[in-house]
Amino acid sequence: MRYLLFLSLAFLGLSRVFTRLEVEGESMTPTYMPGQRLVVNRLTLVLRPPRVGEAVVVRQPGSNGRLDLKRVSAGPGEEVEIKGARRSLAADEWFVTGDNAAQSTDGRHLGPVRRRDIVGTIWFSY
Amino acid sequence: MNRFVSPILRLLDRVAAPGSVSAHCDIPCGIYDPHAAQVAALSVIRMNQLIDALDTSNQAAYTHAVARHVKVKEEHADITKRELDILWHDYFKPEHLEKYPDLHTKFWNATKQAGKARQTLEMQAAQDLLTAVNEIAEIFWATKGVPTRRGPSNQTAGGEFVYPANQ
Repeated sequence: MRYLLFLSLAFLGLSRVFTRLEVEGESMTPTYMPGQRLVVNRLTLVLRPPRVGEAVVVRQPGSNGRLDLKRVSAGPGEEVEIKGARRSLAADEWFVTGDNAAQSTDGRHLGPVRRRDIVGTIWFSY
Repeated sequence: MNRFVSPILRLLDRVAAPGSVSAHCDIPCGIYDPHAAQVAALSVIRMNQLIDALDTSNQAAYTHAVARHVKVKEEHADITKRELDILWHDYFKPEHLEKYPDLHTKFWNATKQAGKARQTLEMQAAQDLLTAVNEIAEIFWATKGVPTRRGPSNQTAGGEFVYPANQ
């Protein structure tokens, strides 16, 4: 009984840290293909800030809570182009883009995201 | 690690399906229209009508026909959900919510209704789905400043659609 309780608590704990998601759409091809499944680590970004170059799950502005898969391409202080205008990212502003740029709606159109909008990092795919 | 963990996760996926993460490919092109959702919802109604009218004298033929009609009903209920999802996530903006504060509830209820229409052969469930989609269509066109009218679908299934009044 104790083992069952321990396993249940461990599973609950892990499910708060790790999330399984399936990729829909092509804006991150060829890195991540539609139908590919990912394990997202929600704890990483609690312990450290996002890193430029890492793939993340994010809620973009105006997405009504939808989870998007993008890559952090710039961080605070870096200069980016948003809707044709160049500006520097402020503190706690992160710029995310899709690997398949031609078919991605991302920071270039929607603007930067904050750290709290980034749900987690991609731990591995299966 | 992947070689050992992947099969376990795939097994877990069978018990509890993973959520979805969008790597959406929209341009965005700015072209949105609720008509696809309305046609799909009407198709669910039509499949129910056709199933009701099937000849039951030959059990094998009847079972075969029901299976085919249900398959199409499932597909169009799914199309309804997908088209609603595109409008909900990609078209509607926070300023629309200010004017229509129950918008999320309408989408949530319409999506739930699509599920009910799949789960049952009750005509009312399918008709309630079209009613919910038409309500969303009215709001959609209102946000574009386009007045609407209700008119017959002009399809064998009957029913009515919300149309932009300028068409």
